[in-house]
Amino acid sequence: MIVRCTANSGAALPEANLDPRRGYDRTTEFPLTLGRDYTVFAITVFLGTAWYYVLDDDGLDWPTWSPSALFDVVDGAIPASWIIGYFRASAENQYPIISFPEWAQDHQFYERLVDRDPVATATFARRRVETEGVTGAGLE
Amino acid sequence: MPSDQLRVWLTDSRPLSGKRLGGTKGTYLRDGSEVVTALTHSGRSNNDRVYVPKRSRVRRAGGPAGRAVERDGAGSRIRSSRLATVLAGLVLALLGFVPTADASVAAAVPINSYDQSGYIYDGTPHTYDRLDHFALAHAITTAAVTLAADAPAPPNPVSVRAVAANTTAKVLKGPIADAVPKNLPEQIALDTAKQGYGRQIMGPMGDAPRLVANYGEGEWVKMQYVLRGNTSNVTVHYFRNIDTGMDVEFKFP
Repeated sequence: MIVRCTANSGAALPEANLDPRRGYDRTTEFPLTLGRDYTVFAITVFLGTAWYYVLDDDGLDWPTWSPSALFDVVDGAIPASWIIGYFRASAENQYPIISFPEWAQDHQFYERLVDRDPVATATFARRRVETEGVTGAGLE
Repeated sequence: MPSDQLRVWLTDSRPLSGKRLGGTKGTYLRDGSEVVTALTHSGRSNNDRVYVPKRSRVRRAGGPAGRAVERDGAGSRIRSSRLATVLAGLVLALLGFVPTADASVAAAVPINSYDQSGYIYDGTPHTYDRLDHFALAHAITTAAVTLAADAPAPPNPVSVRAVAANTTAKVLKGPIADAVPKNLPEQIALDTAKQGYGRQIMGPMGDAPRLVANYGEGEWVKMQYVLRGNTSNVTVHYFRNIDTGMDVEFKFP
């Protein structure tokens, strides 16, 4: 799945996506380049809309979520291995993850990935190749 | 001064207001109102941050009428370290102050509903490494305590129940100190993140129960701040309580 950045600031977000306590307001600047294509590695729902996990311009080793309102979908094809997982921490705190199984079935996978857990990092590296292969990417 | 007229009360603490200051203080009192000495100590802190309780509790026993004196009672705890406790006991021993385990005075005037003797764990969640300082000091003077011991045996069944109630909180990992910057960019990134910059990068976390146990109730989320440089970036992660605004455990991932 490939998305193209159409906006990179909080000014373009719907009201539902804004929550200053979480660092999202009208002045928030996202590390995204207008017109650039990004491979999506997972999809979730947060603050009322879909968010895409992409490797943004910060150059981190893990994908970071950005609101779908900042993108247009260029290629909607998703890898055959992807599944949907659903995590419910509480009635007010639940969300889906659409991604490869290691992520979609393990609500702590991303936490470990961000903490540079070796297993999670290796898994993501392997799935990254697969995902970018499906999307024909190596997008830069 | 009669040894049994000396009591030392150092109690534990938890984050209450989120106010960050540099240390807490315990006070040694002897007969009457004279202050013998005061020991400044810091407890298990979040790096350089110690959450200071709104009130401190100091109790003195053994006045002329043999009554317990209480100042600032329920709900106040001062965080103290084990080392500070042991040192306090050694100092007392060297000075010849040998406190006794006589609970009759304190028991005569209960401190609160759960601590009838004043010697025990209170069993309140968010209480860590709480020691019976009085009994520990006494034990040191009699060479009966080792540093490996967590705490002296509670003196009554109430203590046992209180400790059991606190078991869940004790098995969780404690607070994690903030990272120490190794260079100027990290220092700048850390300082900026501590000013509240950054954005949430994930939903519910596996660490949430530990954060609740250590810092208090609320929705805890992971935040990320990235300082963007010309050639490289510095990333800072930390946890934020969305409900209280408390930010803790800054680190460079």
